[in-house]
Amino acid sequence: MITIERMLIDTTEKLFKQTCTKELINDSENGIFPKIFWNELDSMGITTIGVPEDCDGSGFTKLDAFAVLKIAGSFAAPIPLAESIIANWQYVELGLPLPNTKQTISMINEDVDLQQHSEGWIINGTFNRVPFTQWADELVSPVKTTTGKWYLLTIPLNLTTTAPDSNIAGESRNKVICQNTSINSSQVIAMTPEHAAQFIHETLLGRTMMMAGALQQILTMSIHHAKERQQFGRPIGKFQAIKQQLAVLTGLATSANVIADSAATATVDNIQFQTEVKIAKTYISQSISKAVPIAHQIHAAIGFTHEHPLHQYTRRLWSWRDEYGSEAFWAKQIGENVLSSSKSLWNQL
Amino acid sequence: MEASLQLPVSKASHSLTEFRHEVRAFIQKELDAGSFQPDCDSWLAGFSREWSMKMGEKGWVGMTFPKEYGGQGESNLKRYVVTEEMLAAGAPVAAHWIADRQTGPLLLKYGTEYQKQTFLPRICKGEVYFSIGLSEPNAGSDLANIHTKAVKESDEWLLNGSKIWTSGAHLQDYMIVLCRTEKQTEKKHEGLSQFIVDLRAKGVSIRPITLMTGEHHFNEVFFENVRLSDEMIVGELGEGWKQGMAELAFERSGPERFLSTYPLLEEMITVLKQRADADSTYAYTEIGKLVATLVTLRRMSFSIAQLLEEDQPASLVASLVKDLGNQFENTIIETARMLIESEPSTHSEQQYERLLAKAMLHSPGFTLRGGTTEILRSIVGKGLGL
Repeated sequence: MITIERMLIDTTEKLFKQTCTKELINDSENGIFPKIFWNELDSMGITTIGVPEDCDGSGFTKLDAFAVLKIAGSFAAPIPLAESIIANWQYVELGLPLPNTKQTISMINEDVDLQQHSEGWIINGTFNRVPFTQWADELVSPVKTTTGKWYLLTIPLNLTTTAPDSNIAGESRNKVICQNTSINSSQVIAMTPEHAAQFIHETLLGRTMMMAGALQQILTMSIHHAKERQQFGRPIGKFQAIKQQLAVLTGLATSANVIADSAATATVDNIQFQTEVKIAKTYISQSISKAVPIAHQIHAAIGFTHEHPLHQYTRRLWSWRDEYGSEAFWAKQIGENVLSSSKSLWNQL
Repeated sequence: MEASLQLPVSKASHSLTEFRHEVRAFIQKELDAGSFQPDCDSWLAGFSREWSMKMGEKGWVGMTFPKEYGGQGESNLKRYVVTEEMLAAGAPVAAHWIADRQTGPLLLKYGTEYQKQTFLPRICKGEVYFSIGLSEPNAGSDLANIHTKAVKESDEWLLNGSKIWTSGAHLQDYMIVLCRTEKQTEKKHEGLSQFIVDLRAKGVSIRPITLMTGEHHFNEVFFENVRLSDEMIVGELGEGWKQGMAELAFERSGPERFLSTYPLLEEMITVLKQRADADSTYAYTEIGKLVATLVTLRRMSFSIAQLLEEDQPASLVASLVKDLGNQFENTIIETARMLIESEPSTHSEQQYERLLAKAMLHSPGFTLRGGTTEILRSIVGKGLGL
C-alpha cells in the first residue's frame, strides 16, 4: 500500500530531481536565487509541512518534514527550506498566524541586547552566519535576555545592516547587525526555555538530515562512477582496493542515515529528542572527514573539477558539519553530561 | 539509496524497556554478590557453566525457541536485550553463546524432531554447549574450500579431517561440523553437509592453540574415523553451505560485534570521574564521540534485529554493523590510552589496567572472527553490484 507520506516523498523527490539541476546550483552560487523552484515548492505546500491544516499548513508531521529535508540535502538544494519550515513551526507553536513574508532563522548570536520601551523594543547586537538573508524579509531568532528570559524575535531585515559572507559551498551565511533597531511589540514574543531549546535542536536536526541526504548522494555517485569508469580494461569497481573503499563509504552513509532517522522519530519526547539530535550531529559530522575523502578518491581528478557535480555535495558536507556546532562542540556537551552524572554510562543510555 | 541498505528505524516498546530493567536488575544483584568480574570479550573468553545455568533458569538461553523445546517463544528483540545487557556488563556468557545464537536456530529450522527433542531443551537449560566447525587449516576466509569429509559405510558415516580456531571446543559438548559428503567439484559450495558431532566421541582429539595472550580458547579438533549415524545429519545432505550461511546475519549484526571492549569504556569513565583533571575539554570530547558512535551502532543493530524478527533480508547491513562495530571496539582502546596515563597490565591491581590489557591483547581477533573486515567489505561490494 502506498501511504500519503510515501507519496509526499516521491513527489518531492521527483520535483527536486527535475528542477534542482547542476546549473541551478551553480547559478545560486553566483547570487541568482532559484525563484521559480522556490515558488513551486511553496505552492506545493512543502514549506509548511508539519504545520496542521487548520493553521493553514499542509499537515503531515515534523517527521515527514525532516524526511523532506533529507531529500533537499541529497540534491544540494541551494534554498532556505529548513529555515522556512522551522520558522513556520515556531509561529504556529507560539499561537501566531503563518506569515506572508519570507523568513530565515538564526540560533547563533552574540550579546544581543533587548530593551523594551513604550512603543516596542530596541535591539542591539549581531547575528552571525545567517543563511540566505538576501532572499528573506525577516530574521526569526530566539534570544535570551540578560535577565534570563527567552523571546522569539522577528526582525525586518531592511532595518538591519548586512555584511555578506558565505560558507565554502557558496551558500550565503551573512552577518546581520542591529544598531538601535526598533521593532514593535508584536515582533517580540515571550517563549519558554524549553521551546527555545526545541527550536535550537530542530534547527540542528534540519542540517543533520541534509547531511545524511548528501552523504547518501555521494555514495550513489561513487558507486555509479566505479561501475562506469574503466581503467586497465575494466570498471574500477572491479578492483578490490576500490570495493573496499566503497564498502567503508557505504557503512558511513548507512549508519548516518540510521541515526538521523532515529533522531527524527524521537520528536515526540523532548528530552530524548535533544540528546538524540546532538548524538546524530556529532556522529555524522565526524563521519564526513572519512566519507568525503573516499568519494573524492574514487572519482579521482574529474571529481576535483568544477564541471563534475561531486563538489556541490562535498563542499556542503564540509560546511554543514561545522554549522550549528561541529562534532567537537556537541561531543563535549555529550561527554560532559556523561562524566558529570552519578550513573554509569550504560544506565544513562 | 540501494534498497538492500534501507534500514527502517525501530524503537523499543514500553514492555521491552521494562524487560531490559529486569535483566539489568538481575545482573546488578549478581555483581553485588560477586558472581562475576566484568571482563572484556566475555562472549569468547568468559566460560562459566554456573553462569550459563543461572541464565537458563531465568529462561534467557534459547529464549526465542518454542516452549515445546524448552524455550520461551520470545522475540529476537528480547533476546537482543539479554545479549546486550550481558555484554555491557562483561558477564561470562561464552559457554552457551554459540548454542543460543547459532545452533539452536539452525536445529529449529533444519533439524529432525529427534534432534530438536534431544538438544534444544538442554541448550535452554544452559547445560549443553556447541562449537562452530567451519574453518580448516586451508579454509579460513576461503570457507568453502573444505576437506573434512564424511563417507558412508554400510549404515554409518566415517568422519575424517580437522577443524581449526574452534573457540571453547575443549570445554564444549558438541560441534556442528561442515564437511564434504560428495567429491569436490568446481562448484565447491555444493556437496557439503552438516553433522552434529559429540566432542567426546571416539576418534575426536582436541589440541589447544594458545593465543598470543597465553590464554587457551582456540583449538584444533581432529576427526579420525569418527562414527556418525544418519540421525546426526542436520537438514539435507549436500545443503550444508546454504543452511550454515542463513544464520550469518544474526552472527554479524549482534551487539557482540561492537561491545567486546565496552567494559573498558565503562571503567574508563569511572576512573575519569574520580580524577581531579577529568573536567578537560579533551576528555569530554573524546567520550562524547565514543557515546555518539555507540548509540548509532545500537540503533543499527537493534533495527536489524527487528528486520530479522520479520524474516527480512539483512545480510548486507549486518556486514556493515560488524565492520563499523569492530572499528569502534578498537577506538575505545586507543581513546583510553589517550585519556588515562597508565600502562596496561594483565596482573595490575587496577581493574582499569587489566581491562585495557585484555582489550588490547584480544583486539586482533575482533576484525578476524566471523568474517574478516576484508571479506565483509567484499560482500558489501558485491551487494552494491560492483
